[in-house]
Amino acid sequence: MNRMAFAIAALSTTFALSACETDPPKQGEGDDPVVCADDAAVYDRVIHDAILQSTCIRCHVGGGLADGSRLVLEASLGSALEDGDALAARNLAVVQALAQETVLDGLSLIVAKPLGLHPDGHGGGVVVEDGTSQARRLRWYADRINGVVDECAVPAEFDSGGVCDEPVLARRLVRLSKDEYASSVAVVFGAVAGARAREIARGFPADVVVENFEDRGRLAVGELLGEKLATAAEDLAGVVVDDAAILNAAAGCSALDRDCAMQFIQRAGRRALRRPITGEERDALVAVYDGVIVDGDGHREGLRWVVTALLQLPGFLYKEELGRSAGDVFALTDWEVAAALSFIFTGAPPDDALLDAIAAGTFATDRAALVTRLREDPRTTAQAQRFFAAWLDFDAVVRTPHDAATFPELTPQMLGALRAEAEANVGDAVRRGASLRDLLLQERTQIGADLATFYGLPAPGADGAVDLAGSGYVGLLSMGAFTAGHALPTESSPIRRGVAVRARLLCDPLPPPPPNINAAPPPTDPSASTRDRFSLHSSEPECRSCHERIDGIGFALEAFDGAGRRRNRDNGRELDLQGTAVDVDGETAEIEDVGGLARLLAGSEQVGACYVDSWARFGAGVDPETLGCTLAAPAMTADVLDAPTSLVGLFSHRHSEVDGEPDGYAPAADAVLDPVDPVDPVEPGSGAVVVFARETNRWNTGACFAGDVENGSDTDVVWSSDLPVEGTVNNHWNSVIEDLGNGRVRFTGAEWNASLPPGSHADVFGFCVEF
Amino acid sequence: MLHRRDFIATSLAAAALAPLAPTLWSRGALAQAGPPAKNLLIFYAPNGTVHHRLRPTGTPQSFTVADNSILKPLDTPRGNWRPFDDVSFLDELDLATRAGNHEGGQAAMLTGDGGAADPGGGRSLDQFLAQTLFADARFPSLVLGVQTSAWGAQQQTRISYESAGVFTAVEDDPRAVFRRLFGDLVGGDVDKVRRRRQSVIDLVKSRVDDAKRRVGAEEKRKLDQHLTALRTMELRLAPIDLGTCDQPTAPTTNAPNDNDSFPFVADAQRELAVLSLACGLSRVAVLQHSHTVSPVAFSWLGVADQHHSLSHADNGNTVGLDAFIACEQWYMDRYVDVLEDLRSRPSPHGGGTLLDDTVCVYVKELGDSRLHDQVSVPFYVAGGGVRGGRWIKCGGQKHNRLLVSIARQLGSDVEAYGTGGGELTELA
Repeated sequence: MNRMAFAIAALSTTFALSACETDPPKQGEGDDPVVCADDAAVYDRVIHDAILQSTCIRCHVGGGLADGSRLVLEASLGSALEDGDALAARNLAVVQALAQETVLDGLSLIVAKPLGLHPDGHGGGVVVEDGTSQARRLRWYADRINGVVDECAVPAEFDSGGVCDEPVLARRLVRLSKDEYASSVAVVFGAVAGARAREIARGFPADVVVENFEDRGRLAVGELLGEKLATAAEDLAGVVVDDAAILNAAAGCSALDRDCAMQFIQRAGRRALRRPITGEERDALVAVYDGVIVDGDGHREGLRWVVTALLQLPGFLYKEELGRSAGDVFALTDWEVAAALSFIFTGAPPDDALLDAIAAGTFATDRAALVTRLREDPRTTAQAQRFFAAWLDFDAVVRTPHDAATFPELTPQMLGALRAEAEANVGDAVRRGASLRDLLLQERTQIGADLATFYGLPAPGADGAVDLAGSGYVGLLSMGAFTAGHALPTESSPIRRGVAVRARLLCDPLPPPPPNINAAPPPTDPSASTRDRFSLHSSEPECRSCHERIDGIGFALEAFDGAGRRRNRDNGRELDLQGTAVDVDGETAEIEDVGGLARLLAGSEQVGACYVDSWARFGAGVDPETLGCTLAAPAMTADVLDAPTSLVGLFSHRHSEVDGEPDGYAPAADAVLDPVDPVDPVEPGSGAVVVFARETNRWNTGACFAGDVENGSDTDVVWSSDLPVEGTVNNHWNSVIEDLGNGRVRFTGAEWNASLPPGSHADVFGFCVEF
Repeated sequence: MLHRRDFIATSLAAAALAPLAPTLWSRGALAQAGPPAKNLLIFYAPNGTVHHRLRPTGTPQSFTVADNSILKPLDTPRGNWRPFDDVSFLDELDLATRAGNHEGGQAAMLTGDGGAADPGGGRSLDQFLAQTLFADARFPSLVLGVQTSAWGAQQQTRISYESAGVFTAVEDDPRAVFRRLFGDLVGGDVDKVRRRRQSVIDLVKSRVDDAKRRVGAEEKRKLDQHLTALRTMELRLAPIDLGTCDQPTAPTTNAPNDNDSFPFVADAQRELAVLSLACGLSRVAVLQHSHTVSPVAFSWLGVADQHHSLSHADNGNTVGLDAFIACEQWYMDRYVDVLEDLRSRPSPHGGGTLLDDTVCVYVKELGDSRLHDQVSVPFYVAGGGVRGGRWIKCGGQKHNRLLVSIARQLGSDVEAYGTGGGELTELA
């Protein structure tokens, strides 16, 4: 295929195909047709690779289910048998002809059919949802073929060429997941409240899931969740205020007065909102507190309702990825970047230390330092476990009904132990610094004695590990969480296991079987092995186009019964563990047993790419399909469990929405992110010196701040601080300033107040800004 | 044998019966006392059917139900009541769907396959009616599930859409449903707590409004959904009025997501759905049993295989097929449970029984389960003024017509729903 190299024009809306660069099209000038791009290249880039090759071709291929339709594609391009270019040209011709044909209101056939807008519908298989990147590609391509759009101006969105280098994504609010809600409560109010939040969040309604992962972009607060969040907030407020230790730890003070309440709001507010609380937010929470005090119900009751409100604020419930206007795009703020990355690496928001470092500007120019810090966070282990559990569906083993008569040993405790085994091995891998390749190939597992007996393995050693060499068990795919999770209640299922490997490890989900196909599992036959029965079943011509992608992989796992145990015979028959793995890295490979499958996958670029793409969807809520570029996949062998580092570039810039600038967007509104006395009081003798700006006045186009200094040391200090400042400083007093760029200004004392004695000093300096 | 009408006549004032004379879909009744039906209850069970084990023997004019038919529970008297006398079985109704299969059928079943621009606006019928007719009810709708959520919210697992492409959240835990419905404030200064909840909602609303100023259209829709939720919560700060209902006792079903809990959860959710209508708390209830491609194993019937696997058993696989029919009869029996509950309670809107006031429709997403198609998808309608005892052949009409007829029976004036229009005249 023609693999032309295109530069990504990340910040512009279109990119020029290379021919254009030397010979720019001159629209309407002269009679010569504008020829600026190779049709084949555009076809390849915009729709073939992204849609036809990845989705349609499973059915629309010779011998496939849609063989009788008008779209029949050549599957193998560049085989030894026939010239690849000739086959590619044939595909192009077929698609171009269909694109020119229209139905209804001039809708091109290549839009109407796949989007299900054709009066006759789409025969089966996959319907492309309108509004998705795939739909936009089809629509644009049809418009190009029909001369509706400039054929040279291929939207940058459709360039599926290079590696993503800080792509520009949409400005958005990403609602916390259930796990993130619980971990956030833990960071704001401590472990006890966090544990209670985790328990409560289990009762929140199920979130939208697309292909194995929550669809972060679509998570919202509907009626049922809204109610549950309110109930949860009241419940958690009780946990916080009814325990003086929790309350005082959150407040950093123990007095039952308004000052301590203010401090509580500042501290808890910054943790909850993952940025300094704004003056407006603070005042609103104080008003809630004051209302309770006026009722005569006292300090704790006041804080109860402050907590109740805080845990329902949109700033808490939604991660903000809005950024601030920086020319054509919006640059994410340090607070937003740190919060997003903290959630990806650790599953939790930034803690106080990280928030302090952000406030101090530590990471403003040094993203790598932030990443280093996050990678060292011990919570990365639990986050990796959460990822693997979602990616490979560790819950399946607990969820799938297992027939008690066939597998009496699969008690709820045993199923829990099988799930725990998979999780423990991921945790162990993270701690050992193992790679994904190791996880797939390792000849050891972490199990207890009960599971060792179940598997027929020797008891674990002191380190909780069992050596698997020679046992037939190899790596993650031989664990019961996978083999018994993807099984039928009474037996193994090569189909379910094959589908799970394809959809999850290879990111190759299969379309549902079309209507009018008898998809019955073969009835039990006492004289046949599972493999024999399923082989016969899948040999039907209409089944083959999908099942050849599934079965060969599943058959290699037939040495594991429906409970996940190694077996030597199936229904009295010899096991045949040979399989043909079709289309892994574009190749067909012969494999044998779980070891052969694991080796194939462990060496597969497709698995590596799928791993990082899956992390992008799990952690960043970004579907790589919409990126128009490829995330750099870490090597399978080195440090690959740390896929989050590959996602850092996603948190740089945002564009305004397609419908233009957000309504009512004004710089003044942006400025609400200014810090307002964000820090803890400093104990004398602690050695810390903290400088902060307190908003004293605000109007539409500007604001003024008073600067306070806390000298926690035992001696006089010369103070200086780099503060984030929104807008331009147009007036300042009792200080010397230096503009550091990136919205930061360094404040140093004037001659008379440069050195300050221990203790708190209010109104040491001041400044005003215009937005 | 006593008829449903006989039952009502013996238990209620005869005067109340006059407008509910045997000819139903009656415009006369509509003119006198508002729409014939006050409530809608949707009963869903997945994975299609097997027609030759479903259809009665004989003709629509004269038919019998075989013992091995899925319809058997309708024909099995409970005391002196034969459920089929209240039920119309709609045969030969095709689902309007562009995509087909489990997913397409599931999405089209209650939306009429409509998008945002079509009548109904891509909403499922329950949400459309809740939003357009019953917005002032304490719970305009309740969507109660029985093990619907283990796969997350996605096209396969959701049947209710609050707007185009946006799923309505489903509550799978009866204990949580009970707390929502009846768990009002207990003890303390009730008014004070309400006032404070109000002040928190006010604060959150103002912050969401503020956030709206800073985002684009896409995220604004998200925040609008949040604001709608907050407004609904605000309405529910008002004290609960249970009408003539006694405070019921809370369900005790533990582990609602365990496969073997399925029948207990189904019972508890049914009772709560019926209570919500009986106590006037809600006007629209959905009882969703599992979801399409259902993985439930009916272990309580001694069936080991999963429902979806069984739904594909071909005619040669008699063991599998019989097991599937047993599951389907079990579901039908649960539908009869709902009808029995409804007819045992008085309507909170005056007059007859709750069943007289409630259209109770049993829906599925597939026709022939083995073929994954949407041809001859069985529907069952009872109550709310719909005459029962009928096997109605609809001759391949699209199901949009049924959706229109139900909506009109509840007082809506829609003439089309989703991608099609007209009424299902056979139902009259």
